[in-house]
Parts: sequence; C-alpha cells; structure tokens
Amino acid sequence: MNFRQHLLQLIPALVSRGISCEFMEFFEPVLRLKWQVKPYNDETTSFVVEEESEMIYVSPDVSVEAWIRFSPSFQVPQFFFQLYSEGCFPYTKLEGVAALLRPENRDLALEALAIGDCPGSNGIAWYVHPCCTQSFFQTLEISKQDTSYLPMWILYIHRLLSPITAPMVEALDDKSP
Amino acid sequence: MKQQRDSIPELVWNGNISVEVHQKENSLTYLANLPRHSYFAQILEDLKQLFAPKAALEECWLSSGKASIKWHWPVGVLYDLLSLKDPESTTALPVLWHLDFHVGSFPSSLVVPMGSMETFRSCFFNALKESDYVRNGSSSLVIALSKPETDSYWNSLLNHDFYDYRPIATKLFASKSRIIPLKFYLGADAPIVQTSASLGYTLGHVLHKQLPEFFPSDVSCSLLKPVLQGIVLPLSISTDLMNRDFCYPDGFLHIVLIPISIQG
Repeated sequence: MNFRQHLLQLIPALVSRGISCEFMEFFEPVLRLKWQVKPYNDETTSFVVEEESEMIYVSPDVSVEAWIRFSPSFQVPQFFFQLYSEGCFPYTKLEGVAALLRPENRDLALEALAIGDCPGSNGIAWYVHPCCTQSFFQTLEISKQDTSYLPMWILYIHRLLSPITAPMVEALDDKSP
Repeated sequence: MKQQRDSIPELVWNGNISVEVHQKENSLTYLANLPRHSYFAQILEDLKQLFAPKAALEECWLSSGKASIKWHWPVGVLYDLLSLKDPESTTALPVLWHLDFHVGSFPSSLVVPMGSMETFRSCFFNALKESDYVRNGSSSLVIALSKPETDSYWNSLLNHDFYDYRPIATKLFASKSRIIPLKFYLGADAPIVQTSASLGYTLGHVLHKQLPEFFPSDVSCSLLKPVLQGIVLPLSISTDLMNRDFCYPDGFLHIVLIPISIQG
C-alpha cells in the first residue's frame, strides 16, 4: 500500500465517528480532518459555573483541525494540528496547547511539539516533530506496506496528544475486529 | 586598488533588499538594507520600538500588500515571492520594497507569533536539522556541532558575518546521501512544494520530474521560471552547484517559481 492508499483507507472509520475528512492532493496526498473534543479537565482549561447550588468545573469543547501527510524530509507520517477555542481563536502558545493535554504528557509535549508551515495550505500549524517516529516504526518492525502502518502511528501520536486525538483512536477501535 | 575576487557564495551572501516600512497614520518611516539571508524576526523588535514601543512583540506583524509576512522565512524568499517583480525584466527599477507594520488583529492562522528571539531561534534550528536529515539521513551533523560552533553559526546569521558562517555551512551542506532538500513556492496563497533531489542532475530534470504540469520540458521554460536568491536560474544548472553556492542558512534551496512575463 502506498501512503495515499493508507490515508484513503482511514476515511470511512473516521467519518463514522463524526470526524470531517477532506482528502487533498496538490503535489502530495494530505488528509485534512476536523472534529470537536473535550480537553483534559482541570482548573487551567475549565471555568466554574454554579449548578444547583454547587460549583462545578466546565470544560468548553476545543475545535481541532488536523492534517496528515508523509514528511518528504523524514520519510514518515507527520501530524499537524491547530486547536481553536470558541471555534475560531487558535491556540498560539505552546503552554496553552500543553495545558489541554493529560498532565503526564505535558513536559513531553513541550519538547516534541513545534510550529511551522502547514501542508496543503499557506497557513501555519503545530506539529509533532517526526524525528522519533522512524525509531518507533523500527522498534515495532512495521513496514510501510502493512495495513496497520497508519493506525499504529495514530496510537503513537495519541500517546502524546491525548485526549485531543481520542476521536481518531475511538474510530480505529470501532474499525478493528 | 586591491582587486577583490568575491566567491559566488560571498556574492550571494551579500545580496540585500532595501525595505521601507510604514505604519498607518504614523509619520515615521523605517528604512534598511536587509540581507536576503536574514529574517524579519531580526528587526521586529526595532520596528516595535519605533512604531509602537508599548505594544507586545507578539502582537506585531508586517504585511506586503495583502500578504502577511512570515518572519520565519528568509527575507530574500519573501521578496522573490511577494514583490511580483521579474528579475529579468528590462523595466525593473532599483528595489525598494514597501511594507506595512501592524499591531493587533494578528493573523494567527498564517503567521507564528514572535514571542521572543528564542521562538525564532527554535524555528531556525528546526529547519536546519530538517535539511540535515534530508542530506544525511539524520540530524547528527547539526546536533554534533559544539556549543561554540552553534553559537557562531547563529551569531553569523544575526551579525551577517560571512567568514563565521561559511566554514560551518560548508560542513553542514555537504551531502553524504547525495540528496539535497528543496522548497518550491508557487504563489503567496499556495502551499509550499517540499521535496528533495539528487546531486548530479540539472534543475530542469528536477522540475520536470516534480512539477511536470508546469515544466513539460527539462530544457526550456514555458509557463514558469525558477528564481533563487533573486536570480533566474537556467534549467541547465546542476544541483551540485546549487547546493554548493546557493543554499540559504537553514540548509534549504528555496526556489520561487514566477510566471514567465508576457512580452509585448
């Protein structure tokens, strides 16, 4: 399977989970995704509301826009994303992005995330640095032709970006026998 | 008078763009000759001090016409892409690039907010490591630079010092794999075409292979022509020569593809 086929194979499962998918192919195949998700719920991402005489934390949904492409430099899949509060205000600070993730991943996120030119558009986006991805595939001995190539990589990304990427993983769980 | 014999890399290094920056409803003007190899990140603080000293740096940004300036792209690449000037045009006037300075309404989906010079340094070295990875299959050359070498390379960019820059660049840009990294720019609103090419071929061969719809021939241009460092390149130029003499400090060959002018 080539990378284009890997991307196309993902789409039905993602769509069935309510993830909007757009396959683009200008000069490289890029899969653009959109979904809403609840970030990690703590004081930094929540606001307090009163409900029936109780004060509770409410965590507003975050809109996620993501792009998956095959890095021409690192020759591995690469995950780009933008996070929006209230649907339209992008998170522009790394600390703000990290605060939406599980606490045990935040230090790693501060090391592994960077911001740069987004594929398939003239914009910018956060991305998971692909420098460690190759050793991940080597450790698991997964070849690029394997049908589990992209799903396994999504699980790898999810370990860093949970719970933001939870809908993608849930879609893969639905798909697996 | 002593005759100077500048090498091509030094001539390329010394290429610069004259810029004039204004802010709406502000009578002040910022004028500078910016090296093609430099970045707008390097002058953003100076612009802020001139036009809006009380503003936060991350709220400040520049535009050229309707296009937001990406400060993490080299000045020369931005000029070749956004000025809409054909270097071969016989009517080309001396360059003075007009830019506008803004505070607020930051185009955050298009431009990285410039929190500090550390943000810029991080972007720059990520790009340099990526170009190293393409050439050598790992970023080990950049990572293996000693702290004095890394600081010297960074300072050579900030201070525009060719003699500190060139020895380290020569070491970094030699390609063990004989593969070199390129970025093609098709317009301000188009995504970058990022790719790699082998040494030992011509630019025409690379363009014909990567972008056959725009370069149906590898020996002549019909729709677009390649501009690198402000120079329209012949398709016969070798990738070896391009890699040796025309790389930007981040290790990439940034080539802007401009429409061929209609001759009247």
